[in-house]
Amino acid sequence: MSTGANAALNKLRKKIFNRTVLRGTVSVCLCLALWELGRAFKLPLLEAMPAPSEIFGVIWKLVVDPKFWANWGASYQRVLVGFLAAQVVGIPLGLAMATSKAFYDISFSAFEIVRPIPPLAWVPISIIFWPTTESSIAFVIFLGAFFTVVINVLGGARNIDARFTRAAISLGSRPSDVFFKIVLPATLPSIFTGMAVGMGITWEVVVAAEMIAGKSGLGYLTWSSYVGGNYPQIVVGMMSIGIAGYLSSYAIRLLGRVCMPWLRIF
Amino acid sequence: MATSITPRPAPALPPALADLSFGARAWYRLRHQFTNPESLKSLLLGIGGVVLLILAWWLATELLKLPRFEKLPGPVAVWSEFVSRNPPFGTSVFTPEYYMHILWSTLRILVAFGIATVLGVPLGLFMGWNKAWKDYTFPILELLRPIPVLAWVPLAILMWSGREEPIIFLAFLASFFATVLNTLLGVESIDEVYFRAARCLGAKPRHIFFKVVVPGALPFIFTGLQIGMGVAWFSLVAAEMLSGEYGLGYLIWDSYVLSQYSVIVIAMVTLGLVGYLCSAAIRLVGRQLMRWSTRGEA
Amino acid sequence: MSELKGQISIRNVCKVYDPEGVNVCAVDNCSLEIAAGEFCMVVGPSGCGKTTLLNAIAGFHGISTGEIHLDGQLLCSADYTTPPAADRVVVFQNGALFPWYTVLENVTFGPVVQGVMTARQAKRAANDLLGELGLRDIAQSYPGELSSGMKRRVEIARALMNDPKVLLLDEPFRAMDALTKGVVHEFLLQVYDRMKKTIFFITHDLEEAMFLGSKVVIMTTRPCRVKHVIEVDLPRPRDFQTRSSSRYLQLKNQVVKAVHEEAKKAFEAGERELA
Repeated sequence: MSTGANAALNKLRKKIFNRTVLRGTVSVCLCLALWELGRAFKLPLLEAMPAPSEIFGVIWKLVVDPKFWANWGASYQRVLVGFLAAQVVGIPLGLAMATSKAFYDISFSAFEIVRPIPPLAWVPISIIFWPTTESSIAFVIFLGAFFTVVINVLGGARNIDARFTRAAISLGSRPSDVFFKIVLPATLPSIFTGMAVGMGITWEVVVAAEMIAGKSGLGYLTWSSYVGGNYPQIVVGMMSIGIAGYLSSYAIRLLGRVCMPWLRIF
Repeated sequence: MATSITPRPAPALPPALADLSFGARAWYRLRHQFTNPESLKSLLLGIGGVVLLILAWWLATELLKLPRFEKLPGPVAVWSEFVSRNPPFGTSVFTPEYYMHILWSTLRILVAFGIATVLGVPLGLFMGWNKAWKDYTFPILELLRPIPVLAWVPLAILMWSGREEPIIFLAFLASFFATVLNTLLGVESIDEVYFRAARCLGAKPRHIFFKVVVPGALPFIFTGLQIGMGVAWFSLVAAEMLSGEYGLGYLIWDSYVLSQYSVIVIAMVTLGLVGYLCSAAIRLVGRQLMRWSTRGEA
Repeated sequence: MSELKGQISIRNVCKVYDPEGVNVCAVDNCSLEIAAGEFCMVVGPSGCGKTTLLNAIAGFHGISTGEIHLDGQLLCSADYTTPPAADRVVVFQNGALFPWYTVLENVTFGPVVQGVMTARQAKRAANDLLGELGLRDIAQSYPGELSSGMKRRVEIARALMNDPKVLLLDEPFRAMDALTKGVVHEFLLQVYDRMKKTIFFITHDLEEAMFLGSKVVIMTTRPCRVKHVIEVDLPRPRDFQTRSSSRYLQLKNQVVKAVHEEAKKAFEAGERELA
């Protein structure tokens, strides 16, 4: 074996078998053991929870069930629609608020009055207003991500270093150049921060909306497992939601890395 | 368009005012707001924006009765319910039930947020301070964190037998994650040079903890508490909607079920206001504890 | 105080870093004697490893071979490092006043955490020291409210408060404009004339080194080695007029020649600025 490959292998070995990973593995295993034994020994709180061993039994049944995957699809569809709508409306609005003082003055206070209302408090109004359950869920999801997106875009665009815009103007930019070549790229990091936070909220809202008013989706799966008394399946539902949410955030991070090559530090 | 991009800083205080009390500074800012033509214009436009919003709401729901909007409660209906001595749906500023709901929600938040702070801040501090401690705890936190708090609802009901405990648990959980992670971030953001400076001035570990780690992480801790307060309200509403006997979230859902639509809006606005006040209180405490950073900027 | 303390002897010190198997030699066989109460300036191009040497004296990290002694006592060797303590206080490159404490709280930090004074005693002593150094007016200010020159003065006061044997200064005036620098230089000279502490001062600014120091040590770049040691025999107390004396100019000429060669070598080697 060549020395280069050897060194790379050594590096990989160092990365996997170091103290941090070892400690993490130990503590996760300890927690799993506590969880399992907690059920057996009827410890407080853990007694009523389905134990890991029961959950493993359920997982294998679920992963071969197409209905389970249909729930994934339903949740993903809702997240995608609400999230994209929030981006499409929120990003231009945030940029407009940042670039025009008059528009900022007139819209920001109204925006700030509505913003502190938690998104889920909109659920009943949304159900009353929209004709179908699906559209009302989508609206609440939209709201959840919308406020975060606007605030982040606004903050990012307002905090652009004035030197950049001045440099652009002194290099002969027209206002449209300043907007597309300075403001937009300089705001991109905040846009992606807003997206990442917004995605987190979106999943929260989707799960809650599906529990309250849904007929499909991972939130509904979790809630109906509870109602139907299939407790191990609750945990599988939670794990699925966690994984699905994580994958969505990961996709955003990946997209961010592609769109912002100048932030790549390696 | 381009020129308006340059940041507009808050009106700077004259140096002599920098040492004045909080009240005097607020008074100065307020006076500036009304006497400076530029700020006055912003203020008026802001008020105009809010009026416009309410006007549009009124036009759509009550005057023009646009399709679909007609079903929503309009501002006149909401207001007349809200200030009525004998409200048709039973919720106004004169009914004790209204305050009962506010009190219940606030109490739940206080308990949940309090526990989350008492547990979360020290945990975050230790995690940032001691590598081994972080190695053991961080993976568990990272495994649990991607699960939305509201996905815990059924499990919370199973784990806790009572009616109050699951609700408080959910609000706690949301707030806890935000607090721990921001505190950890805060400790990790402290420049290494401060630890070195403290060590070469003869500080022992406990001094470094209390005199460098804690104050150094304070700005991030308060960011975490702010976020924690927001998400605590967020989860509380959902939890109260799903199971609750009192509280603003319950009031919203109950009014929906009973078709008392104007009460929904009253509860929503109240929720926004109370949530905002809670965050403002945290900001105020933070500013008092971190005079070094606010005064440095002034 | 009967006799001066703070004699440092650095003997054949090497420091090798080993990040990912690539040996980087930051300091190579470096020897240096600093007498008690001497104002020693260490000059070298940015990133040459001066700071590594200072960190070893301060106790922030160990060394690979050789020994460093302070007043005849072993400070560090290949297998031993004395942890940082208040007998050798560092003033850092970008400043390390705790932003969350007032000037007075910063200055009393050392004696209070060491337990050598009660909070009240420390406060009185700090007020005396600040008064002596002309800093009393800002005792209640936070560092964020001070100018960079003021901050450095406070940081030096914070170090002096511990009555250290050695003051270690790591390019403390690096990012300052010439006028501010002039004022802080005079401040430091006054402090030195009054207290006669041993000072180990790192800089890349030759003129600064000539003006302040009794001894100027010129380092080579990567690996860091002592190239020249120049005794600066300018009379003390010095002030801004010292800079225009003929002896100063003569010495400067001599030193510039020596250093230019080294700087060029570093430049051609394409060394990145690391410090």
